[in-house]
Amino acid sequence: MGQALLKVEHLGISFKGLRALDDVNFEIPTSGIIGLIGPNGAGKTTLFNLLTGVYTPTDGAVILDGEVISGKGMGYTVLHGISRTFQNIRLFRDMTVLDNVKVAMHHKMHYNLLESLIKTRRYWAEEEQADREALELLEVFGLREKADMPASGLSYGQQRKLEIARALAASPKLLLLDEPAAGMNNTETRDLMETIAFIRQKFGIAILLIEHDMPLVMGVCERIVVLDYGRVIANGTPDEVRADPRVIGAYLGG
Amino acid sequence: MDKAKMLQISHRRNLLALAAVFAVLYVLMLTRSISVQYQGVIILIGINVLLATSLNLTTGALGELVLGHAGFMSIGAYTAALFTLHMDLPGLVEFPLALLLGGALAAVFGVIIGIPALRLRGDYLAIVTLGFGEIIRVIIQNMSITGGGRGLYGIEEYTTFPWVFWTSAFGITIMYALIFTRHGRAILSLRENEIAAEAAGIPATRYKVLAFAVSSFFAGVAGGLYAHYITVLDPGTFGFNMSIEILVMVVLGGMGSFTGATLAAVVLTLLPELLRSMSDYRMLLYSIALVLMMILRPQGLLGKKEFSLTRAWEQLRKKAETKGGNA
Repeated sequence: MGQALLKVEHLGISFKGLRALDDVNFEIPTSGIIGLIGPNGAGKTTLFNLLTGVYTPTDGAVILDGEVISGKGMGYTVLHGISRTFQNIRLFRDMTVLDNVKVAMHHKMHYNLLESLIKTRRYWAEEEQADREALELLEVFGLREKADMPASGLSYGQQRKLEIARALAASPKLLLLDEPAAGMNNTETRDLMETIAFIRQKFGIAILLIEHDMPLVMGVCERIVVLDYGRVIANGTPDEVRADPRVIGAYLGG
Repeated sequence: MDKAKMLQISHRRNLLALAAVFAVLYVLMLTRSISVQYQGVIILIGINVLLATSLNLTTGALGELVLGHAGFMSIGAYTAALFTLHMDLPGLVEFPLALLLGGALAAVFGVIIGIPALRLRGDYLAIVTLGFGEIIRVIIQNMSITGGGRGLYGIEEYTTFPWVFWTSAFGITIMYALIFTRHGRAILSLRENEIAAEAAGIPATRYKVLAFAVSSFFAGVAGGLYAHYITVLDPGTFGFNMSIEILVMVVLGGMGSFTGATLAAVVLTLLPELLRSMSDYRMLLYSIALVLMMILRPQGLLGKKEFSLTRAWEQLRKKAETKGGNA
């Protein structure tokens, strides 16, 4: 584990008096895999939305590579290296698999409107580069043959993979996965665990995942942050967390 | 496998096909094989094609229901007409200028309408655009420079078949070409899933406004063509009904398909004319045709697909080859 890539400091947010998150602190090291668990309504997705700039925190800050990124909006966060997937799959269903990935490369291409109409050399160069990169990514997820199919034609497991491929296409430093194993069977889940480990190894990025599937979380994560009622009640290795009486009380026992 | 070269060939083919269609129609017109009445219909088809494809950019590609497209058209029509009425330039200079000016002013209004589109979604935005269309009509009706309710007379008849044909072809080409770029993908992704698009780094604001601006620009140009064809402008023409007629073309062609919108605009402009001999039953049959169409093919004539001359050509050739093999 290297130095901290992302620091969450005293993060808190209230919605009309409801304290959804309170004084949340944790760090994500460069290329670490961190799990985020907690009972329903503990504030996991709210935390994701704060990290990706959907919400502006009431207190505290999110710091990526030494720069405060909280409160600057979704666009800013993506461009500065945080990509995410969604709990309920959100693909561009009527676009091709390839175009789904290429949408996320938007900010890496620079040709302007006029160039796109007269199709300059830069247009072709950038489009071909994007095609190549996108196909490479699809290859990693075994989706290369499906590149020209509409995304809606993929199976459930493939759709989850495409979402991850799309998130990676933006070249993030940190990838947030919101319940990636939701709705998957055991084989698919095991496959996913391998994929997650592989992504970290291949792309050298950090991963933060929300997951209810305990074997998956315990198996793949190096550290686990446990949320309950908007507060961090435990933060440690899988073994430490498993043995923590507060976690057992709030989560496993309750 | 060289994509650029393949596309160049297909572009050349498309241009050739366009030129061929133009030449055939033009010769038929010059030799009076097409009656004067149908020459007018063909010009209206050209205008409607541009209207339908431009609406397809916002309603089909961006996915925002716009119920006031006739409003943008009327801005272009009045701007262009007033320009040629008050300028004393040769027609070949002032007509294109008038079209550009009409388009530009319509685009300005498109941006103004596009801004609430950032906050409003679906039904709410549809109602805003509907209100916009009506407000524009009422304003034009009550301004003295536009001739008010009496209308605007004495507009030069500049709009000829070549003008309509090539202006529309140019407009469609631009909008169609836009779709296959990063800008076009951004617009489509906003239709498909706005939250995911923003999470993928698409600046939603910029692309919604862009789609509205381009769409209303070409609606304005179509308005300018219309004004200089019909020569008399009556604000009543650009009411809600006309917006709906354009929308029907987009829906019938298949939301998001530019070639579909083109095809539907041709069919729906021609149909009432072909049914003219049925006199009273004409509009009834037209409506029945629409209802049947929506029952039998709810996704529209072409769905979300685009017609490609190259693809059609390949398929024809394959068919011919298999037939040849059998014989």
